[in-house]
Formats: sequence, C-alpha cells, structure tokens
Amino acid sequence: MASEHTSYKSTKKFLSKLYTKGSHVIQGPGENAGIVDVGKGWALAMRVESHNHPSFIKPYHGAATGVGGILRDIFTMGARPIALLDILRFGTDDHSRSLLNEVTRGIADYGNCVGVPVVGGDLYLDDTYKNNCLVNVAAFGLVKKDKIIYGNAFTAGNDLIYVGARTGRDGVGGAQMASATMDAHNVAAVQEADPFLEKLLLEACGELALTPWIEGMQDMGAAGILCSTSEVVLRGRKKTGKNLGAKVYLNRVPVKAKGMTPVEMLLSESQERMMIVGHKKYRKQILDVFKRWDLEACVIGKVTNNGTYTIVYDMPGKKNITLPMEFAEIFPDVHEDWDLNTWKKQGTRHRKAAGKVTRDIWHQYDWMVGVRTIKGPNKPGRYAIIDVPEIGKEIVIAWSSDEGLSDHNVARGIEHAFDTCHRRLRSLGAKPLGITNCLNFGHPKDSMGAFAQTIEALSARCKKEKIPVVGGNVSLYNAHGSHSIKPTPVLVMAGVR
Amino acid sequence: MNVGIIRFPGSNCDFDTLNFFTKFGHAAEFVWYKDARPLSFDLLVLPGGFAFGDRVYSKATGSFTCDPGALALRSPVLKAIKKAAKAGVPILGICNGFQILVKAGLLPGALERNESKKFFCDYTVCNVSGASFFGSDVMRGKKFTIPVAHGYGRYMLPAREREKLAENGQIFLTYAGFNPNGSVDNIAGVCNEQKKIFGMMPHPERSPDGEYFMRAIESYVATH
Repeated sequence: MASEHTSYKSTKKFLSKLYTKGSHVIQGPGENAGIVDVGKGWALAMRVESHNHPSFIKPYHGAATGVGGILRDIFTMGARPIALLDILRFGTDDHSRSLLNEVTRGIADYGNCVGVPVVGGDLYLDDTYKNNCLVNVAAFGLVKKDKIIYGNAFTAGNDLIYVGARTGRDGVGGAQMASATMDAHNVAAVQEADPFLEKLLLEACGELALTPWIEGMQDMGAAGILCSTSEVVLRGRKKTGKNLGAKVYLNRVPVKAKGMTPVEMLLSESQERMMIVGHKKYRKQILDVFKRWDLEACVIGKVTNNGTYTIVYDMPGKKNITLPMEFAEIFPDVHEDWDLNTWKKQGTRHRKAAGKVTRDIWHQYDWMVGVRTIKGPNKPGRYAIIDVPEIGKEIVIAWSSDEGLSDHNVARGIEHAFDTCHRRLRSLGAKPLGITNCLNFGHPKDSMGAFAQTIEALSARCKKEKIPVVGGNVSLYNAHGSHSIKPTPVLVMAGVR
Repeated sequence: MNVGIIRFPGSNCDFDTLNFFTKFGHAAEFVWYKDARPLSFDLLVLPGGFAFGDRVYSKATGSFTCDPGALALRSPVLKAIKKAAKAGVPILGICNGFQILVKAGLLPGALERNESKKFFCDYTVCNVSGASFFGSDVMRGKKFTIPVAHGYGRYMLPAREREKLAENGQIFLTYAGFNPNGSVDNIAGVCNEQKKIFGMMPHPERSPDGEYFMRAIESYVATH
C-alpha cells in the first residue's frame, strides 16, 4: 500500500510542481483518470500507465492486464473508452524480440475482445531496455459532463459493493514488485488477464454510471480491496470534511482460492474487479444490473461515520482489526538526494523500429472498432484523429518521447516530447486541452536527479503554453543489477478541433 | 425499416451496427440474447465482436473452455432467430455474427483460425459476385473497400460443395487481391440457398462504401 507504485512516496514532492490547472480541466491528477472539457456537455477522460515489470516477467498477461487496468481507470469515471495507444521500448536481442511478440499478443487479445481500438503507438529499440522492457498504454474515454463518477463515498450507511472476478492469490505483492528492481522475478505476483469479464464490467458499470443509484466507483487495481475501500472513504473525507470510515466484511468477499488469509484477500491484485459505492436504498437495482450481465456482485461492507477502518473477519480466535482512517498518511515521505547518473555511460543506440515490424504489430489490433478512427496506425505520423459526432468535432491525440535525447540533456528530452506533440496539434488545427505522461526511469539512486529535471522542464513548458498535465504515471526502478534504463519520459497530448 | 440487432454479452460492434442503421434513418433496436420472444423485424443483424468472449461457461466469473460461437447456439434468442429464418425474415451476420450463423447451420461452411494464426485488421478490397449482396444489381461485379478485423475468418468448405455454392450464386463476396486469412477461393461472404441469410467477415458498418450496402438492404426489404 505504501510502495512506490501506489503512493508515489519519493516522487510526490516533485509531482506537486506540475502545472495542472486550466479553465477546461474538470479533473486533474489524483483521480483514476484526468478529465478535460471538450464542449457541448461532453468531456474526455485520459490516462497513461506503465506495466513494465509485469510485462518483462510474464509478457502476455503483464501487457494484457496493463490494458485492463487503464481501461478500468477510464470507465470507473463513468466514461466509455474510445481509444488506446501502445508505447513500447524493447532491447534488440532475441529474448527482447520474443517478449515483444508476447506483449503484442497480450495487448491485442485484450483490446480486441473488449472492443476498444488501439489507434496508435510506437516502438523504439535500444539495448538499455534489454532487461527492462517498457510497456506504456494510454486510454481515452468519453463521458457526459454531468455523468462523471468519482472514486468517493460521501454518505455513512451506503454500501461498498464488490463486483467482478473472484479474489485469488494472483498478484499478491505485485504493487511492491513494481517498485523493486528486476533482479528478483516473481511470476506469481503477475495477475492473469480476463478481457471478457472486463467487457461485462464495462457495460454494467456504464449502465450504472447513468443512474442516480451510485455515489462512487473505484477500480480494485494494484493493492486491491484494502486500497479501493480506503481510497473512496479518504477522498470522501477530504471532500466533505465528515469523519467517514469504512467497515469491510472479509467473509463476504467471493474467493477463488481456498484458505486465503485476510492479508492475502486485502492485498490480492486479481484483475477485473470493481468497487461500487451504492446508495443503500437502490441496492437491489444495482445488484440486478450486475446479474443481467452475468456478474457476481455482493455487498462486502459499508461506509461509516466513526472515522475508523474496520476489517471484520469472522473466524474463531480472529479479532477484528481496526485502524485509524488516515493510516495511509502514516508512511513518511522519503527524502534523499541522489546525484549519480550511471545510465549516461551506456552509449547504446536508440532507434525507431522498422516499418515492417510496427505494421505487423498494429495489424493484430482492431484499430477501427467504434468507427471513430479517422487517422489510425495505417497512415504514418505519431498522432491519431478520432471522430466525435457527439460534439460534431474531432479529437486529435499526439504522442512522443525523448527519443534518446535525455541521454545527453535530460531537460531537452522532455522538451522535445512536448514540442513534438504541441507542434502536431497546432499544425492540425487542434486546440491542446491536456497532457498525460508516463515517466519511466531507472533506480532512484541514479535517476532521481534526472526525474526532477524532467519534471521541472515539463512544468516550465506547460506553464508557458498553458497546457495542463491532467494525470499520468511514474515508473521507477526500471533497473537490473547496477544497470538503470536511460530516462524515458513519454508524453501524450490531446486536443480538439 | 425496422431492424433487430442481436446483442450477446461480448458483442462489441453492437453500437457500431446500431448507429449504421440509425444514421440512414432506420429504426434499430437491440435484442438481448436471453430474449426468446418472436422477432418481428424487417431485418435481423448479428453484429461483430466476441459473443461470450468466445467461451463456454456456466458462470461468467467461473471456469471456462474456448469454443467461439458455441455458447451463442445455446442462447434463447437462437430459437427465435431460427423461427424467423424459417418465416423468411432476412438475416445479416457480420464477422462474429457470420461465425454464429455458420455454427448454427443457417449458412454452409466453417470459419477457422486465420492462416497466420494472428488477428488481422486493415482495409481489404472485395468483389461482389454471384447473387450479389441482397441481390443488388448496383453492386454486382463491382469492387468495394471493406475493413476486416478477425482472428477466425478463414472460410473452409470441401471442393464439391464449393462448386455447388458457386453454381447457385451463393458466394456473394470474395477478397480481390489480398486475402487476409487464407480462406479458400478467397471467399469473404456467403448466403444461404434461398438468398435470404447473408454472412460476411468484412465489416460494412465500418466501410467508406457503407452506403452501397445500406441501399442494397433497403431495396431488398422494400421489394420482399
């Protein structure tokens, strides 16, 4: 729960410097996805996430669950996913090639089945990624402004409803793994992907988002039941000032493995699960929607007003566990100064993959489902144009990375990514609305300085051009032994025209 | 025209297909797979996607085996579809919908995994041949650009039966030039003997030539 992946403990102070405001920003960083206003009562949800470590260890499922997680981040907010991007960085050896094939298959099987088009992406090859491939996936969704759902609970007495896959041991410790170096592989810590369940969840949650029956939704991604139930209450506390708490009955959690311990249940990262905060009086209606979609759902807890987090586990000899609600804050901010930059001496070549290789990749993705893809991967250029007949306009998405420039000049790397996207949007006549970025770096001991410089340079550009960062992801510890990857900031900019 | 679009859990071209018909001013609505009521529509469409995730299961959250289309055959709506087919209601199956119609025995042949063993999505160019799409004289003998997106689109049928189909004009769509899945004789779409049930792997609802397909359906429904 306090690993780098879920709480950003060592990067928080830097991230707080980002430029995140703007008149059309509906939701900045801090929620499941960022949301910008695209006009005519509609909004665009956007987010990019990395699934680097899992994809290296178990490439097919690692990449597939990456797609699943980012899609849930989008539809958790009531938005219907309309586009995906895959941004890949791999080594040049045989192992990297076979990893790439599996990763591609994982992304394809997942996105195709759920029915969300992969409208673009890119692939760069560099031996710096030999033991740390990068798999970044971005997702976009459309939502009516007055139908946005947040991951919060406001009212004591309301239900905490569990829906989706059963809880198993898969992924226990996964969030911690993403914050460790690649020396210790733990295959069991990577979750299995189930795109069909995701599709059912997407449709059922999409239906619920249009009703007045629910108060909030939260993905049960990294760190599972513990994180999702406490997050909705913590956000509610912040927004209402009420002394809200939660009571979770672990006996009610649907499980797929026998003899799971309470800790395993709380931390399990089984995919395709959602937490719904439902108004108690509409409990039957909510459960009926899930039943219609063949999904298992049950009330596993409730929102309380006693300011504590209580875990009930009825077994002879087991005591209930009660924690103060602000327990997430008891982990201290780590502050250390590192100024090593061993990645600088690598001198490996950074090059774009051949057209034949990328063509074989995007041919495996259904890049047209939804019939919105005006400019997809079939035409050159790192941008996509998406039709939005709902507002009579088009959304333009541009993406870029440092393209190896961070090697010599860290600030120049992110500036290049920003400028490339910005120029593209301008040249296509699109008004930039927001940025989502994925900052892939090596071990903090030699990459924290570069990370700080990247944030500073990005912040300056955003301020100058008044384009806010509305969400993103930090991936540290992309390292193996004493080898850290070269800084690889990925930037995605969305605009409307 | 009143169109019924059969919706299975996992049908992910459901909205695309619905929008295709409403865009041309037709009334279209979803028919849920659990629905066994008689289907009183001018046209039934089985859209593309992954009905039941290509799986067989008793509970969506439980264990499963893989067999595309198999579970769709056991759904209540299939009885209603078969009744409608007997009554002569025109039916169109697109992609996964084509797979289901073939599995259900309403169309001849079999759809196997792509020769490449990979999913494939891009534009293809197709010839309209034989009985043409819903008998359209406008389309017969012409080429159209229609996207494909599938992993199981390789049409297979023994040579003797193929000859019979060709003679009877039932092979109404073939890939011109590039064949994306290795289907025999470049077959992309076939219809039944009565030329009332049509199945095709390419997606007319995504096609820049979509209007031709719509006009063909409209004139068929208007004259039958």
